[in-house]
Amino acid sequence: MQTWVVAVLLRDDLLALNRATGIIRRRNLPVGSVSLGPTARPGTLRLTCVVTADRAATERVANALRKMIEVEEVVVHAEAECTSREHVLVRVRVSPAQLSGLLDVVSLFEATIVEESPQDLLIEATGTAPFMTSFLRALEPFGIIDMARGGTVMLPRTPAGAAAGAARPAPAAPRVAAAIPA
Amino acid sequence: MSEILSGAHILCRLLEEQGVELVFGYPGGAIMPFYHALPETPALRHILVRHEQAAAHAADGYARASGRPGVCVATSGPGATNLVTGIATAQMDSSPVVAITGQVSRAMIGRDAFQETDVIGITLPITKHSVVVDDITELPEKVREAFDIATEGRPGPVLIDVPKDVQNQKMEWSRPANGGGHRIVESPNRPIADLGGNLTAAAQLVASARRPLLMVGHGVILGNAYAEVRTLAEKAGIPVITTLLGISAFPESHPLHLGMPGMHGEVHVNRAIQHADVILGIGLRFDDRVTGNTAAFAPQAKIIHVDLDPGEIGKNVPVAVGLVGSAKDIVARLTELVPARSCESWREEIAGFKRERHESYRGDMSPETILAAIREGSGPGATIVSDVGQHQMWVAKLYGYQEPNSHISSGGLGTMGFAVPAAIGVHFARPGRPVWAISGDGGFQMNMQEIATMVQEGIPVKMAIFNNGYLGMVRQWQQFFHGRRYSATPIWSPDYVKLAEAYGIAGYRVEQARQIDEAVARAVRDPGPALVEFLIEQEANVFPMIPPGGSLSEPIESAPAAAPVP
Repeated sequence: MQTWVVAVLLRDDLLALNRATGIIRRRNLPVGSVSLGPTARPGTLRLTCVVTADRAATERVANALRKMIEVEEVVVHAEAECTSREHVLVRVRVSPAQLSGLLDVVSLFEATIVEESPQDLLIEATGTAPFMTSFLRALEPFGIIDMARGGTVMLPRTPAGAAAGAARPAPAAPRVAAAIPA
Repeated sequence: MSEILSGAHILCRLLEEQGVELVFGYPGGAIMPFYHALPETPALRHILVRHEQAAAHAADGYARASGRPGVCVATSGPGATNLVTGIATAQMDSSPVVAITGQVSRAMIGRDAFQETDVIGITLPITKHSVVVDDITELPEKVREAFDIATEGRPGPVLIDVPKDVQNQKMEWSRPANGGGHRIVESPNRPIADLGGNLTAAAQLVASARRPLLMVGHGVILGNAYAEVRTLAEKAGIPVITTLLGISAFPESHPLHLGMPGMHGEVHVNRAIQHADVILGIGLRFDDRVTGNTAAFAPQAKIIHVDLDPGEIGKNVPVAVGLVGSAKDIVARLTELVPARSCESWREEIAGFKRERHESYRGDMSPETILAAIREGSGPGATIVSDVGQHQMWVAKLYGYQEPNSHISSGGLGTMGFAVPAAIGVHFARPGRPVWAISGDGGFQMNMQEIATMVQEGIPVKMAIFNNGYLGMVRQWQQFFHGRRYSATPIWSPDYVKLAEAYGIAGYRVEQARQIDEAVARAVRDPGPALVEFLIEQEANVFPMIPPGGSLSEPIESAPAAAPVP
């Protein structure tokens, strides 16, 4: 078992999306995240799914998706071996006493405060799935009021990039663990 | 010359443009504009079925027998949902069916209107593709696309959903200069694989094999690769196995023909698989009814898999070499690369695996005797359409098919009730040639209402019923694996001879072997549809049998003395 990112380039069409998600649903693989958005090419969408399964089962899903008339391309990457990002908006309770601790966490995770009120802050962050998990864990003690977490997005590396191992490292998460107030 | 036409009229013109000559269907509210336009297109003959499921099976039967797309039409709601089993049958067996459904008017969609169902949603997983026509301007492109997709590459069913108000919309229409039909579409998903290295690797494997086998499936029939497969088998001396849907892809009188593999495959066929060192599979998907337990399937064999669909390579069994492309092309190229030889000792070894079985049947009515009589009585050129169950296995194994694509059955979905309506479609693809629909008493009763269709439309299909008073295959499983608890398998039948009489067709009942020839001869001679009921042994079993999930090495060859209770 391994975690895979499956990116499907498909026609911008609800029926195509319905068919694609049906193919994934039918195989009943655990889906960790789904995201959908436009690509650089007009009229196409990229559907990105994170599944945890063995390689053969993942390849079977990819092959079934490739048979779809509306699908142009399917790429499968091990999550650990590709550049992928998640995005989150999280509203955190804040008291004057905890404010500086919270600002430390925001700064350590290179997050951004996008809205503020006397009672709470709305914080935005981007990173890999493990980064996001650490970030949210770090915010938990302050009190998470609500959260909107987008699914993983991934772009396959260009052949040259893959050969050079040129992915820029994502902001590292574990280094802040000690700084988190209890 | 251009004219102003309704969507319904344009739909009829588009069908005509695609070379459609027959439409199987059933009218209703949301498809009324189409039926209003239909009589103005005399090139389209409409066959009124008695249930929409039969329309889909008939279109499927027509498609399988003719190689051209079969078309069925139904209204929205129950009409559309009744097509579902037929569409799923076509999907599992890669049959190019185009299903056209009426839909409630666009303004009513999503309001739970009368006879509204999301038929696109319902059929998403059982179609190769589906389209909704949202506006009359989309109609030409979407209909042409539907026919292209149904037939290109690996064929499959495509559904076109047309709201009633789109059928009534009007626009200017002129016949396209190029006729519009038969566009060749380059599918971005099906690149021509570079076979170079793989072809050589496959040829080397075949050349170095001591115990090679050919396993031939439906892809050889769909791809019209009979001659190529035969040339390869004869040149390389390789014995040939035909899967259920591959039956009739290779002449059964040929000395290299072994038979059908799998759950009800003969012992020598399955043992050949278990002893083979190289298996060349052409146009089959290594279905679980063929492989049994895949972990124990062909343990010594390196598998070369030829298929048009890249998704099939390695899907069910590990493959040493995969070759993606048309069977006709690849087999021809492979034949050039393999050395000529005869594999004598291997063929002798397989011959040594053969078993004789002796079973007794009520009134000496063995399946062999009945099927031989049907074959002799029908003469060459007959097509046998089977239903699903015990008789299907007998019809597959014992008829002795010589001509390509003369055996038609629901393999993947295993749809009881398939034979009678599918045979209607086969008749239209092969007019003037005998067509038999062979069913059990269970499957026959699922779609016997279609006798009325045959009578109304003058369709001379001959129906054979293997009547044992049981849902025989399920009863056999109950006998072997469920402690003889015949739960819900005894099945009462009407008096079929009187049923035939009620429909105004010839009907015969056969209780003794000596009556078989005459009943078959009279049924064949009758110019219209005819029915022959064979009262066969009630608790006959299909032997051998690999238990579900079992290994091909461990067949059941006789009824267990004390059946286990689960």
